Amino acid sequence: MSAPVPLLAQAAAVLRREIAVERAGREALVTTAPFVAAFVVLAGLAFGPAPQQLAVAAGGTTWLAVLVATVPLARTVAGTERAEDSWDLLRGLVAPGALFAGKLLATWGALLLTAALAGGLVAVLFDVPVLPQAIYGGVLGTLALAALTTGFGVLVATGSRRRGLMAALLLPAGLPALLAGTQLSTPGVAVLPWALLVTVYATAVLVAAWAVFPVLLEE
Amino acid sequence: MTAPGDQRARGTRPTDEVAVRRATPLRPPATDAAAGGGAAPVLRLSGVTRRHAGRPVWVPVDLALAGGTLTVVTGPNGSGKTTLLRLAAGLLAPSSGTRSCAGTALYLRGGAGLRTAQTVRAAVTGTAALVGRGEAAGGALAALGLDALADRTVGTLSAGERVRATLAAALACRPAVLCLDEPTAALDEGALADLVTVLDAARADGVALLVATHQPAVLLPRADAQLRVEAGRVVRR
Amino acid sequence: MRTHPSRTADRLLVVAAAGTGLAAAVLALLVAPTDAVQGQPQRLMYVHVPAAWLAYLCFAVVLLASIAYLLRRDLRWDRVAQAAAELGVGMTALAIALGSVWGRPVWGVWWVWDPRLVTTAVLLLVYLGHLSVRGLGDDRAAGARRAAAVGIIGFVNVPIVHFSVVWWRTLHQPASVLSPDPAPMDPRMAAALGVAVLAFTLAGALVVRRRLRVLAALDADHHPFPAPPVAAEPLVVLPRSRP
Repeated sequence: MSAPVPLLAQAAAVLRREIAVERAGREALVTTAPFVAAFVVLAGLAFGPAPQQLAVAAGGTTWLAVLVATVPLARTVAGTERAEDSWDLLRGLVAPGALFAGKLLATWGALLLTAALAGGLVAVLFDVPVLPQAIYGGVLGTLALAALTTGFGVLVATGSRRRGLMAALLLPAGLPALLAGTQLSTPGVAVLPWALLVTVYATAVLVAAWAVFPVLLEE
Repeated sequence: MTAPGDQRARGTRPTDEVAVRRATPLRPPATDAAAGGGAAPVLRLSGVTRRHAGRPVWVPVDLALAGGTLTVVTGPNGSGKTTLLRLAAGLLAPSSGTRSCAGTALYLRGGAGLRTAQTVRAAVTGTAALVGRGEAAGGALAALGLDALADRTVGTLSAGERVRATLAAALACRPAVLCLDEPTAALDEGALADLVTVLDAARADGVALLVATHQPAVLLPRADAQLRVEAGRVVRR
Repeated sequence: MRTHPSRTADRLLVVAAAGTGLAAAVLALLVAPTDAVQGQPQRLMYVHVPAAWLAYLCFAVVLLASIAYLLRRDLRWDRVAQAAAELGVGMTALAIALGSVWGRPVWGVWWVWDPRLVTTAVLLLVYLGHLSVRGLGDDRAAGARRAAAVGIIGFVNVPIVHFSVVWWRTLHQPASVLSPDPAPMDPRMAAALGVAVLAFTLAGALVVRRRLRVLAALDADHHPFPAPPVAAEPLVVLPRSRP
């Protein structure tokens, strides 16, 4: 038997495949971008129009949009693959670790773009500054959410109750990202504890998702 | 999981040997049965079974497939054909027993397996690149007569074209075992003949083929064995 | 599955749980004095606190049993996780409901954004998820694996959820409604609470044990294999001669 493809090379191949599929089908873009845009505009109407009220709600609006967007995005991890019968071929070719890494990176990228879109829209429409610590929170918070989305996306890939179950699993588990991300986006809040919290959270979730991922792949 | 190995070496076309091991081959066996001679099995299931909803699917199966063989699996709906194929491909974990496979085993349902939004070329290349064989995609497309379709979107292909495109992707990955679940279901006669040609070529390349079908007529004459799943057992016909 | 020794243990547990439960009821309703500040609603604590304690105990058991299942792949551990999760979810819901009923007269609100409350509510959701992913597939072992994964990911999250809510509150609101009472607890109250916790733990153990037997019986219905009419033959496929 020839040497197996190195894990990192295979993870990169999975990521390239994800990007190619997304460019061809734009599933993630179509499921999240209009949703996030509508969410931010409607949040502005719900909380506004007073500038000080909008400023108070800005961070929360961004992170609520990102957190809720993980639910439709989770389908791109395995749900669509299963619906198109491509999951079995992927599973047969790719080692679990590489599959996790590739899917995680793709989901992280999608969530980073979602956070950038939500944060950018909020900054413009709510007229609030973008803080440097908010970017740190955005990067690590979306990483943690991506790990959860990848894990739960594989766990709940099929079934009629899939969507409700996905929300029930993802949203409570994403609570620390919501809190830390919101606090780091709010001026005048102590940065260190929240930066620490989001770092610990991302690490813990990443390790836990990586550890249980091979188990989730078993059928 | 293993990358596709050099199955070609293992699959060097064995001499025309017939082996009989307490099993009746499809055609009358030669009397000088050289059991165990020839190709070593690339896939071996030993005492394998699987439970669904707590119920065992069948009596434990002992199955060994040599490279370059075509095995047709028949049986009524719900008898466990898909389970057998998915176990053979390593997608399902056996509830008991062991599975060993020398190389990559792939499972395709109904000839599907590519993302429908991509072009045939992109899908085949992207799939083969997963095992570092992206450069083999062009050859696979040509071999399966897909050059003219390469820039079409997978979702727009006819059933027969789609089966060929999926097989191009799978074969470009050089699998040791290819499990096809009902690839013939939606095919017309022409497409069926194309499929047979492709399967012959794959077998000549040393791939062990395990094909579940309700229309075995076309495949049976070329098959090395027929397995039938019924009444809780997998038996050889 | 198990036989007489466990039945004897069950009987002992019934007696012990009933005895301590009765003692706890007497202590909580008759012996313990009425709280000077909170009045009669404070007596709900003799149920609320043991329920919360039992819920946390159950979730710790779920975590350990989930890990044990993934390592050993023995469905016995999965049954422990399921039985404990079911009881834990019930106790969590009870604790939240009673806390709310108690909070209304004492605090004037049904709910406060206290870390313990939020964490408990998140726990309830996580373990409801743990129980619901079991039914996703038709394979018993697959459901067990999924549930174990949720049990582990969920529990890893719990301390982080708790700390994030603690910080969220302390960094924004100086005082907590739930800040511990500086006055020492009346010993009769402490006794009632202690006995109630013991009673809940014993009753919980009894419930889990009985549930385990039911679950084991369900699993045992699935005989490993039907008696084969004929021994399975080895099927060896080699290339046959072709014309």
